[in-house]
Amino acid sequence: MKLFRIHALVCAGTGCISSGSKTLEEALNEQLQNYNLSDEVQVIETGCRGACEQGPLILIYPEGVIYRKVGTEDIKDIVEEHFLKGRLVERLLFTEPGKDQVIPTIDEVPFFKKQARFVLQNCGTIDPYKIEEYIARDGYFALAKALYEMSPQQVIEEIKTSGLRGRGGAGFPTGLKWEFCSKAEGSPKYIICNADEGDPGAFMDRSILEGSSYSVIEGMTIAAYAIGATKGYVYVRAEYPLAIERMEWAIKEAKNKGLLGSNILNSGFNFDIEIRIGAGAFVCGEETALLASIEGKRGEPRPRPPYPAQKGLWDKPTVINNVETLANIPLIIFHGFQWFRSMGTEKSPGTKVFALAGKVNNSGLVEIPMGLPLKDVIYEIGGGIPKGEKFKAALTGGPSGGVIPSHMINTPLDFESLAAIGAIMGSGGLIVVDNSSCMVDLAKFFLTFTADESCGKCPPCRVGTRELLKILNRITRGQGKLEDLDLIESIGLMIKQTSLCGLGQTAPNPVLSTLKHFRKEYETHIIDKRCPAGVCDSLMISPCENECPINLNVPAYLQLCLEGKIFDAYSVIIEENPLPAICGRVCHRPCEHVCRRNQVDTPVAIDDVKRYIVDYVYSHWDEYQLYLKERGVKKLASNNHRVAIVGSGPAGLTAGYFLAKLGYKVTIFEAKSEAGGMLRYAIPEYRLPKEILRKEIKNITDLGVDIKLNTKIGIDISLEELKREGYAAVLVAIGASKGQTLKIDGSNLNGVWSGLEFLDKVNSNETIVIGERVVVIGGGNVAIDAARSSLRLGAKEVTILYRREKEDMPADHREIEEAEHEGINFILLGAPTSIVGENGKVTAIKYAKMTLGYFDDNGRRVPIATNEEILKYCDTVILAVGQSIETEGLLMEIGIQLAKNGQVIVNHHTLESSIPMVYAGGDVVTGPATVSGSMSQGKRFAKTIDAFFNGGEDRLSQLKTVYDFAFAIPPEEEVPVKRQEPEMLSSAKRISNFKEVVKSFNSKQVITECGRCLRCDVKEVTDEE
Amino acid sequence: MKNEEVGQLIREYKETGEPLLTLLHKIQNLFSDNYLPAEVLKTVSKELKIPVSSLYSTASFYSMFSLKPRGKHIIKICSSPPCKLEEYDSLVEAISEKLNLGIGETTCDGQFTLEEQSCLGLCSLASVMMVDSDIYKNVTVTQLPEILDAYMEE
Repeated sequence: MKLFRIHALVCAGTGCISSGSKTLEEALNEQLQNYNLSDEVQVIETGCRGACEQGPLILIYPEGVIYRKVGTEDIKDIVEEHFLKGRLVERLLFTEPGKDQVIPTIDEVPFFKKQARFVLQNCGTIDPYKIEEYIARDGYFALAKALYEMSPQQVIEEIKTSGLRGRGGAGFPTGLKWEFCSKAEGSPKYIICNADEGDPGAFMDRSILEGSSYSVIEGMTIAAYAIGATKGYVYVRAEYPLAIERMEWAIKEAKNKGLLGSNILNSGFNFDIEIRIGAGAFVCGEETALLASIEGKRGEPRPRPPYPAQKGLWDKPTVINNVETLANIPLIIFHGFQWFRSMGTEKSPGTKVFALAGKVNNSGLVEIPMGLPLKDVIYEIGGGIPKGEKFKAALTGGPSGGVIPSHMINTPLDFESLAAIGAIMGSGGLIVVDNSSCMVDLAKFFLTFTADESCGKCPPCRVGTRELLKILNRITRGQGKLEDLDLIESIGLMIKQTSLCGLGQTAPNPVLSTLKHFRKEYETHIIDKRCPAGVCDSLMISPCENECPINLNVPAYLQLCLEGKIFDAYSVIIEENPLPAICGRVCHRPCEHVCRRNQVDTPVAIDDVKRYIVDYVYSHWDEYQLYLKERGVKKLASNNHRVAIVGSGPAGLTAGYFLAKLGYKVTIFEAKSEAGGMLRYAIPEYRLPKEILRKEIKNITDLGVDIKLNTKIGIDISLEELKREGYAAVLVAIGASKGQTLKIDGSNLNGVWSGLEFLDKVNSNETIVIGERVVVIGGGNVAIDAARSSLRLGAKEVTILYRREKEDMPADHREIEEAEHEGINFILLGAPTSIVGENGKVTAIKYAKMTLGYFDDNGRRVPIATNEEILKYCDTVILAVGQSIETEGLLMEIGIQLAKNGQVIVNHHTLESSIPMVYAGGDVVTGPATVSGSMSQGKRFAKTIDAFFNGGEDRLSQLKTVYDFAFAIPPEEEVPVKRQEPEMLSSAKRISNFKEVVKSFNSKQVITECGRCLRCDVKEVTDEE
Repeated sequence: MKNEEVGQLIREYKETGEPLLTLLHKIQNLFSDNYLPAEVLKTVSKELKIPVSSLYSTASFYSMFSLKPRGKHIIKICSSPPCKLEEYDSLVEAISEKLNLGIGETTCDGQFTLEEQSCLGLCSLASVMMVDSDIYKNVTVTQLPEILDAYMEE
């Protein structure tokens, strides 16, 4: 036998071939000839390795180095560098997702490392056209063992004891199926390999057929021996041409070698296999439909019993096993049932191949021991969710399966655990979705699929799925009713119980399962007419509008601004947003996160444009008054209902604004000496000038809202008194203004501050004696604000200490960048252990170095303290480690129902609390959140109150005006225009004062930026059913 | 209507005992407009002594067979969830714009038919589409014109 120095395994599965692996192989052979290496390097074409997304893959032995996404242009480097000089071609190696560190060998790549590849052991390792390579890896030893050392009954016993269950979906014990068939009267008997893999999102059978076809044939031969069959069929979908080609080849080869056909291995046992090809019908994966299809008929299922084991193909006893099941057979016979049972769980032994797809960094085929938690598959093997998005759910079992929601991410992947939560194993499709997927839409998608594929024979499936689909269509169009949800459940159950075959019996699963785990999302579509994921088109103007907590019509004001109609643009904004100049400075910009321009280059700088518009109007106020005079101000006539609002933060101010426009008499009670809440007392002047805040509060009071300062409800005035004074409803919007402390030694020393307390003093212009060396602990906006304020107050050295990495910081990223520019130090992966003091005063802080360990349920690596402790000298420590709700005082006094964390419990659609006519909104309900989030709650309160007094009519929309602007999709740009960035005050000019850092766009920038909008609000009108 | 070729296929079918679906696949491939003409089904029925009704019943059941003429080239866009999560919608829209073609329709010049493709098992390479038997992976709207132009007649 010829020996080679190097083996280069080129993946030639359907996936890699479509990525160009064939031309790659030619190029490789050519280069090897050029360098006279053809005798030293052997090129081998293999089956699929499962990491199709990274293809084409080349695996190089003996080192086991794996190159990915190899192009023909890379071949020269591989030959010259790797084969000749023994150096790695680093740019082609795997890396950790989002990191630069390379991983040279296949054993170290997380995607492969954590797998248990047995069924797939030959996929990507052997040449599927060479039976010798299969035999060299213990192939056909199991068949020999079965034929020579075991009786058919012993083979059946071995499979029964192994506990192998069908991998095609239902999980029926394979050994039992064989036993039934072996005992059944009738001859001949048949064994059929079901390779009609139709589940969308599943491709393990294709990969096994392409990469390890001999193991399927060996498995079928053993099965035939066990049940006494002499003839077998492989039913393959016509959609898998390569699988058919390789299977045909393998059958021919096996016959040539005396491993198939008559007198196999001289044992006297005869068995032959033929291939049958489908013609595109999903239902043919159902076993009785498959039988009909092999017989050349319509692939319609028939009732069972009789089961195929008794009356199958041409009414003869027949065993039908799935591809992966059969590929397990040689392994069990060769290694013994104990080996098989040593993997997986008691009731689901062995491994299972999953097809990991969707929103996950490493997608592909993964083989794992059954019972591995979903979390490990998604994060350890799958490398987590791309772009740092959040895991929302995993869909198992394709159109007959269900969902595993994020809070169940620890669910073990085995038959029982999945069935228990209403998601089935199915054939092993595992589709990961993030928050950009709508659960109602997904359910609709799967149902459309099954409704289409329903063969039509039985009415529950044919009619029932259509009826369910109609309901889902209603819901996604905002025409659903709450009763629809009960209807879905009852129709779903009916279809499950009365359908003829597995297709119908499982068709309602995706709907029932999403409804079970995501009922709230269904309700939001129905009650709020909103699709949280921004998928259901008829429920939104554009993704940015949908994502905006207060639903600003962004495309409208961008276009109006582009057309120079700035006052109109401003009017559009204030129809939804009473604090636009504030939002233009401090909003967390969720709109930009979903902006579709992101798919082209970078999102439109929506917030900066808004700020420009508002700043322009405020600096041309007199002109604007003339515009208003001409146009008139829309406000409903006053009524006599009085509403009290406790707290003048963004929630309270917004509620007051909208209620006043609706004609209510509103009083806001504020405990402090100035209104604004956190806007006034937490956000520093350099980010949000007080002048801006006062201007926007004045806009609201000008509408007639009364703000009573220095008044504490519960102390100065009781709730009872408010009622007596004639207030019909009260909104509690007192925020979450209590700074949390750290329970470590020294936290009561002189020189230790809470972040919020510190910012409060800064914003109240109190004299603060700040030390020279400040350490701020935390990673949120409060931490960054405190650090940058310290610098401005004269601290010489400011350090932020955070226990995770910089990209994990919840603070606004622009703020983090600016803090860096200003010279603030960051110590990452450090958590304080104690604060050291002398004479009651801070002198240093001790912190432990952290390392990132396992993944938590949110997909973030958990920081774990190492033994290394570091002492850092400092004289001031600011703890910005979170904020909580002040429950003592008002909340306790009125006895409102609170959750454990102190948040007020309300009905999320109406904000009603446990006390009649008392509502709560903002941070006091949600916990510390965002400005716009709080504003949306204020708006919601106004709507609830108005609905209460006016019988549910949406009067807010009566206050809106229709503006005139162009409604067309912009022409494609030749060269994409880059996102504009606002000018900043130079670092030198800002660190000794509190002047505003970020400037407004100039008039040129704003036009450029408005022109970048892709106008998602312009939609084609389509006639959906 | 290609009587000779059809006759040859039927003879082969009788000799080898190959499955009926394979015969229908082969017959359909004879026709550049990718379908099973009614005439031909009648011939098959006569030759094989299978009632036309049961041939029709089989042929109409499977999505790969068509009983009416289709385009010379069949564009199939995978509509499975992994592809749906990627570019499915925009691809269908772009094709409808470029060729004025909806799903299930054929262009007036008989060049293209647009169909939905069931899962090809290339989910890691979504979005996937096929033109005739060529597979295209990670397809985006920008690549679409180039792909389709290759099949356009001069």
